[in-house]
Amino acid sequence: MSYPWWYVPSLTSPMVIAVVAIVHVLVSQYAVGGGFLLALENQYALNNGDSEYRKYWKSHAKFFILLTVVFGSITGVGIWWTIGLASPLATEELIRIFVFGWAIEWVFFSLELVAAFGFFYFWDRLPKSTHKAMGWIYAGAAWISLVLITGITAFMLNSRGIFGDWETTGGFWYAFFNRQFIPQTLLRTGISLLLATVYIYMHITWIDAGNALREKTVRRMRGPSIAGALLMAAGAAGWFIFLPQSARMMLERAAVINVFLGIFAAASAAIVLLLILGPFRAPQKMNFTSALSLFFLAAAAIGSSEFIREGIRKPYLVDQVVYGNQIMVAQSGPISRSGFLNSGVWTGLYLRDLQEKYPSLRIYTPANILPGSRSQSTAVGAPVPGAGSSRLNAVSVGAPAAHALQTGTVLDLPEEGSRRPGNEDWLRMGQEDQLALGRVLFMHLCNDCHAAAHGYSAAAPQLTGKTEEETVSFLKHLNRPGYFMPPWCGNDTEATLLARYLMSIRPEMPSNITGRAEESNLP
Amino acid sequence: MTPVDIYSLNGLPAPYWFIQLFKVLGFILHSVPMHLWLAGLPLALVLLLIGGGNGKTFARRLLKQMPVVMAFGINLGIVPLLFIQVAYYKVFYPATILMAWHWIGILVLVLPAYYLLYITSGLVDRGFKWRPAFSGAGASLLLIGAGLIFASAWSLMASPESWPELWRAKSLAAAATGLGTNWNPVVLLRFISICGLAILTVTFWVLFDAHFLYVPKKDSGSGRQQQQQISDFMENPYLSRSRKKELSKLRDRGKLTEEEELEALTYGFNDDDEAGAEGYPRWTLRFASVLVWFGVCITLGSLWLYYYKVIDGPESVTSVPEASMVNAPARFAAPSAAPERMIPVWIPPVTFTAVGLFAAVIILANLGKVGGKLFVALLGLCLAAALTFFAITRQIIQNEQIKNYLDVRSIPEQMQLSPLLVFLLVFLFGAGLIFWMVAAMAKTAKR
Repeated sequence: MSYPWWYVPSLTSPMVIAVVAIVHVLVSQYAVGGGFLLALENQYALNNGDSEYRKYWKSHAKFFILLTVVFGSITGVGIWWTIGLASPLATEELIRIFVFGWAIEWVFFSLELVAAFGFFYFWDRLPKSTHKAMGWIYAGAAWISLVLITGITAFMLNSRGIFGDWETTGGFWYAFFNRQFIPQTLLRTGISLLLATVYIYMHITWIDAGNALREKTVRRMRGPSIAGALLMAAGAAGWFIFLPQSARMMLERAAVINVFLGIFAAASAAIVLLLILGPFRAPQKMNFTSALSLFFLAAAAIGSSEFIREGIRKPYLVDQVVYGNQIMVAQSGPISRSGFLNSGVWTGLYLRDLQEKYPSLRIYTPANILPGSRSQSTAVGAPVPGAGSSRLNAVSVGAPAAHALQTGTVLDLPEEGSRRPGNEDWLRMGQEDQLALGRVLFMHLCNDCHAAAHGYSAAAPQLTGKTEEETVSFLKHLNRPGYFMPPWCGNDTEATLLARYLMSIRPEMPSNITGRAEESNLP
Repeated sequence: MTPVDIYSLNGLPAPYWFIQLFKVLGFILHSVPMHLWLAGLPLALVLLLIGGGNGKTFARRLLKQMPVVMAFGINLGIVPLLFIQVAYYKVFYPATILMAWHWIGILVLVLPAYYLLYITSGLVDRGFKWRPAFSGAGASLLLIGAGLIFASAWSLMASPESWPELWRAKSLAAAATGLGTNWNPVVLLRFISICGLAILTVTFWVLFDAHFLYVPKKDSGSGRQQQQQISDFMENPYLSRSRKKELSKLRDRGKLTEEEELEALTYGFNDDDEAGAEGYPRWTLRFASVLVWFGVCITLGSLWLYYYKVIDGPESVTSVPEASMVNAPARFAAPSAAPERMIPVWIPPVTFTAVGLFAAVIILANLGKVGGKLFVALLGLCLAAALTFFAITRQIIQNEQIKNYLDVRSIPEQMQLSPLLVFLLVFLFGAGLIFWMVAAMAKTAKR
């Protein structure tokens, strides 16, 4: 609404987030688990005077820094970049709620950096106790970073709190200590440990470490592998128990989620099996190929779990706060009464440009829609009842009227509870312009999750065989058959325009399919 | 229609001054490492290739420090980026979305640049000359590219009046393709002013490094004398083991060139010498007194142009084009009848004075052959003052440029008191722990 929609052909812009996020998670989880293991094994080697074993961990620390400090930090920034571009409204909301969570996380990130550099660059120079301390400072800071970020991402899946609900209290701590927080923290801690051991298996089998050292390292990593797997299992169970009802249903009903769930389960089982066959039964035989296989399986498990995590949130981006199509839950009602195109800054600008061609076109603007949609008697600075959060009327209530008088725009606010039939003169425009408006609606309402005719989850092929009336009806009741879709956030005219656009790009019925369902003789 | 949606603003989670303070403070801290890779990196590469003994010493030191500098540059950049998104999201997101692919391009440029810096550092450590020069030049070009995109994005963020045209040109069905660009002389001017300040920071770093971080080698005769005592590069104590191994293999295969052998033989010995008895710290003062002229001229010239000809010039951007304000609510719709001064009158002269003072202290110190840690600390204060006033001015300009669309000062507060207090406590705790770790490292390094 406030922001231009970023169009990424075929892939859709949120998938850019997914690509960056999955790559980042594969490194950042290692940064947590690996940090813990570096501190632990460094302490073990120092306490036992095992200089050869410690030498290996120095070489691992170098690999660790090159991967986590460089790639991890840049892809971490990459997530910031891409969420701001593809989901600006959700990002805006999350930053508003969790700004100090992120600020605290930055302090721990700074600690991580200083400790990591001190730990590595002063490896044989710092006094033993100081070196051990630096290792543990890194490990602690990295884990707290994980805890802080998990509090935020867990809130996106379930905004209900452990001690009280954020929706009613509006407090940071209620949002942070949400019902998914503890399970996801356990889960991510477990993944971090397990993944770190996989990286270590890969590294020790890749370098020329010698049989004895390799076997020793592999043996010592068995405990953390088991601990990681157990934490993961406990976390996954808690995650399932505390899923919101809609998410739990999504696990069962969405075929693609089923597939990813299957990949996750199969990859996890294969990891356990490989761990038993490799590090547990024959640590001396552990080689790079089996370590690499473990890594690919771990990548498949983590990638699919991230996809599931994203997929089951639907229809929300942030549970009960922001819908997947970048509309605040609290605003969907007023927008559907007033019309989507009128409500957005950039769609409004598009209409204004269109008005040059059709001077009689009636244009409504956010000025005479959105403030009116919120409690008109609300004072500036006070929470808006029903807004789901505490957004503000930044302008006084009188502003829209004054503004309308000044600019000569029509002020025609819809009444509460009524649905404006829509700006029907749009349907009298030329066909090309109608389709163009339909495409504008598609971009802003659908392109978050669907490509148009071709690409990721393309929308048009899903409508093949439907008539325009059926499509309009489907759009107007978007969340009835599929609760995982956001409700229709437009007026009736806009539903017609969108349907006409989709009809124009949908593929024809495949030639090998005979007849439409209603034409068959089936009862 | 105003392109900035002010109808759905969130309250500020902290007082206005707090957000401004952390945004400005974060920018100042971020600018130090940013300046080092922007100006220090190319300078070090030039000195590595054509510098004398001391020049090479500085080049090698800086190139080896660069990966750590980069890490902290990125880390400290998070602070201003976070606080921009707290208060300026209504202008930050649209501007970056309109130029989305360029914005993402920053990551595409910075990631390989970061690895190239590690490669450069490793190659320098192993005694190479041309290889680190090439990899370092690659990193430098990539980082300059990223800097230009940043300058372009911040300029676009501060000029919402230009968004509709950009959006019309680069959109598809009202959706931004993200292919917009914002290249104009003002962006270049902004970037040049940053480069000027970057040279000043590098000037300071040359002295800081020499006086605080540099540990002279044990005196056992001049480098040249020491070097004459060895006849094979395998005896060179400054050459890394891996490099010796590599060169030895080449020699066995008969592929070692004379130039490579000579370089390996002399590597590291001349670092503390410069044709005479002048020490490295003394050389840095002489070098800084030359370098500072470049920094001062570029900084003062570009800032003067930017402040007085662009920002508060005859075509001041305070007068927002009326066309872009059509349909904006009454209180936002009235552009200033006459351009107001954006920058408080006293700030530019104070910034210029701080820059001038910084330069004067270096030049006079060089003439009087004064040096020492206290002098460098004093110099640090001058530079901090210049960077602080620059950052404050930059913030004031940003606020003024967007004021007609989004007056951040007027956004009501919705304080998150307990998380804020926890953050401040953690911040103090973290700063203490970092201080302890740095002190431990410094103590070890000295030993």
